[in-house]
Amino acid sequence: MKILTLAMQVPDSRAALKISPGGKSLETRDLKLICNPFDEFAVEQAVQLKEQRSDVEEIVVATIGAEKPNQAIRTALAMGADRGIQLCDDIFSGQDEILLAEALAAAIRLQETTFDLILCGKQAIDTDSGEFGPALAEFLDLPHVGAVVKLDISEDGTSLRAHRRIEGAEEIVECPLPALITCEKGLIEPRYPSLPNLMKAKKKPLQILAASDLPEPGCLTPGLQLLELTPPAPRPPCTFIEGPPEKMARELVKRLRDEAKVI
Amino acid sequence: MNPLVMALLLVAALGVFGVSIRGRWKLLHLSGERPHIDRIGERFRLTLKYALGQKRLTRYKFAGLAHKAIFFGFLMLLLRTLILFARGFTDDPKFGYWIFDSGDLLGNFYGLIKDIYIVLVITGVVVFLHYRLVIKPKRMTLSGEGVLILAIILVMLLADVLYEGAGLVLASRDAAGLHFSIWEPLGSLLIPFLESAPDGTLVFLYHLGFWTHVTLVLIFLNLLPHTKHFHIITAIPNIFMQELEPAGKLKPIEDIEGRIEREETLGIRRIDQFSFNAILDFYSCTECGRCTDQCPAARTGKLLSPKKLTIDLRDHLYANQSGLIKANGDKSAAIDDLVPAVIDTEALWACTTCGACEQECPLHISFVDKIVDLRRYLVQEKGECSSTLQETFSSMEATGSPYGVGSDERMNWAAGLDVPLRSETEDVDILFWVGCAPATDERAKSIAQAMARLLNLAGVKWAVLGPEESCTGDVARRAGNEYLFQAMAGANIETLNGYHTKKILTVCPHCFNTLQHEYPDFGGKYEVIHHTEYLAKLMSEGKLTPTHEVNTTIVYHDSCYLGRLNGIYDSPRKILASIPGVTLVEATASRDRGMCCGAGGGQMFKEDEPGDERINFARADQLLETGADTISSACPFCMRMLTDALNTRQHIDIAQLDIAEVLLKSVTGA
Repeated sequence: MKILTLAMQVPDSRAALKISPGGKSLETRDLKLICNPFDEFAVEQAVQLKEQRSDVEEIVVATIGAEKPNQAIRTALAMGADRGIQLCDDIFSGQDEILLAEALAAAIRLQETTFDLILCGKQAIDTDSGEFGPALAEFLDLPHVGAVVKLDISEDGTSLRAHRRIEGAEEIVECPLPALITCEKGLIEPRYPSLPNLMKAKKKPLQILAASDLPEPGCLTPGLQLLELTPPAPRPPCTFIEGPPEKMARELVKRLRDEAKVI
Repeated sequence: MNPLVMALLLVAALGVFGVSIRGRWKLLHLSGERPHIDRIGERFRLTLKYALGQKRLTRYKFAGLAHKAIFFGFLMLLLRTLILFARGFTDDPKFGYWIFDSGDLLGNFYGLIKDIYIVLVITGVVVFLHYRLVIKPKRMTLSGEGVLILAIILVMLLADVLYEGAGLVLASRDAAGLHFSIWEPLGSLLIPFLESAPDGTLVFLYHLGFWTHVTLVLIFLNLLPHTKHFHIITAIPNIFMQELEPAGKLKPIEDIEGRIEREETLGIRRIDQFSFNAILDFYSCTECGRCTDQCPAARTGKLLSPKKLTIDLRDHLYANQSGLIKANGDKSAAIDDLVPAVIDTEALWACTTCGACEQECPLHISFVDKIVDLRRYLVQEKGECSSTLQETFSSMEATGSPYGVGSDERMNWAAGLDVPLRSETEDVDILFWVGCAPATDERAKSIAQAMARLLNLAGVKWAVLGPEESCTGDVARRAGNEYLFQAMAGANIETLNGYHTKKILTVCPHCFNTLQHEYPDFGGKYEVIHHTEYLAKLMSEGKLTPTHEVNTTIVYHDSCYLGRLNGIYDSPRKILASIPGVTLVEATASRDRGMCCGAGGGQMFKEDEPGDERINFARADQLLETGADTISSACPFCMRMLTDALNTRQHIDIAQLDIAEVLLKSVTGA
């Protein structure tokens, strides 16, 4: 069995974001970039499958981004993926995930390997669009199961059984392989890559592909246009209510009712 | 007496002893690291103070005094035993190496001294037996071994007295004169009981006493390397070769990336990686349990016991002795990883690095460095630690702060205040290193604000780094992530050296300790001052004067990284005492015996390990017992931990103030 996982690079949610002049992109200098946490679930799931089963031959991790190699793919390789593919071109710096999925699908078809299982995060934490996984499945003509919180692969490696989180319940589905799974929080706890593994990751094979390496690169035209990025309004300062407990409680209730209008 | 028997006894006993010691000696050298023998003068001074002076023993008063009696007794009685060994080879019952022969001046004098010390040792042994059999303190390992050894000492000494008493009576019969001797008072005491005994019985008792004594001494000697009484041999070398670096300082792992390339372990994974000094520590543990008795984790029912940690490592070492010696440090030999087979993971992560154990140990055994070394391996090579700590590490990587607050928010605390930025200020006497909590934590911000106001009132030329400051890396280092610590230290030192920084002021004892003691290893050498010392200095120079009354009863909580690890106890108390209206009270556990708040060693950023109680709750209760209405501290972590405890206990009536906040109230009246 061969597994492909995704490791997209996103800004760290704790880092301070600055919008660059022009308002269409983020200032990348000093910006801490990390592997999309949902993709880390995918990588961890792949690595654990390889640790548990004897029939997993290879884990390939794919990413898209200009910096070579990017932080996300280094993390994934350190966590235990065997080799990487990185799509690297200016045209991929936009936000159109359908275009990115189409490009990655083309890159996957270029590989000599056929993948039995594709694992990716449910969404990327920067755009939160959640389109990428399902779109990739469509371009590869694979069945797709979304937002999986528990995954079992059959003993013979021909089908999977997945628990999906749906509104108020869990849905259990079965699906033949090959298939694409998007991973939801709760599926698995990703490991903290150890230092020696981070160092070894630098030596693992990484294939870099530009748009021109893909068949029919001309087809890749963005359907989505980014107009403007604006920061959210600053949080209003915290108000402290002081005094004896009864007075504080009364004041709090008053403010919740009259000012915040929540009760 | 009987040269042949004596010779056989000595050869057999010393032979067996030699074999035991040879194995233990080889274990000391497994890691290939050399023992500490630099700064000889200082080492002799410390050995005089702590080994001969028994300085730490009397921190537990009666047990300490009893130990002193036995310790000095053993030193004095060593000569007596050597004399008796010699008498085994001769027929002269008065033989004493020609200098100490009985009847001679020195011999008589030594005889008297000897008897005094026999009484002292017996008293000490009785006190110890009382501890072991009657009081049974929880801290001690109450083994049969302990009682057996005490019994051997007791019988050994009484046998000597019997030998001497019988000898006196026999001698008097030969000389038919006065036989009572003031130089041999204990033996003389037996005369009334032995006087009427027939010669044959006396000769038998004389021999029984002698041979019992020498045999027991030799058995005792051979028990030493296999029991906790090994400390009789190892204690003095262990104290002599102790770590001389500051108590709060950890050793760096040199050349981390090179070590990974060469596949050398980061931290400690297996028992054979412990240094000469660490193994000597294991040999020296007496299982007295003072460490565990003072350990905040053990006191609140966590799995950690510093004593058990040492004993478990020692027993694991002994159990694998032959295999370890055969492998001789070979990395491929099959030896267990220490965690979790020997040291429980939960115990390892319960340590707050407060140093109470190390301060207490009469033998200067270290614990914190070993615990951190074990964490270093787990975190860096296996990527194993709690998910909250992982989150903290990645926050530090992403934002430079364990709180995950970005550098752009590091000056929010200063809004509305006159706070000069270092990058915009030319003439700066002292750089105020704000620290992550005072810069970004809602409550702790007020400490930074109070400090800024006080600095301005005192007319100090100061500045802050603002967005250029990041965490010192203390949390990462003590949680085992040395690589991250070194990265953060490197970046901070580059900034600080870029401004040619000489003096740094901190309000956080953790920042203080790391900047002061740990940054020099990486090229950052500064004069670092904690705000309690700095404010006391400004007051003594008349630059700050507390004039307004602050009418409250204050109990001061000692931060471990300020007090125990850096010896600063007086300045904060001096400041509080000089504030009009303040009544200063002390908790029963205060100063060097003050208990940790539970935040150190990375605990601030992880869940408590399971136990009976949370450490901060236990500490808050100790402080509340004083009846104070204000708890004052000088560490943002301590404050946060105590606030959590007070809030949960619904003590809204108790105020909590940093030393700087109390002082500001009194200086400005606001």
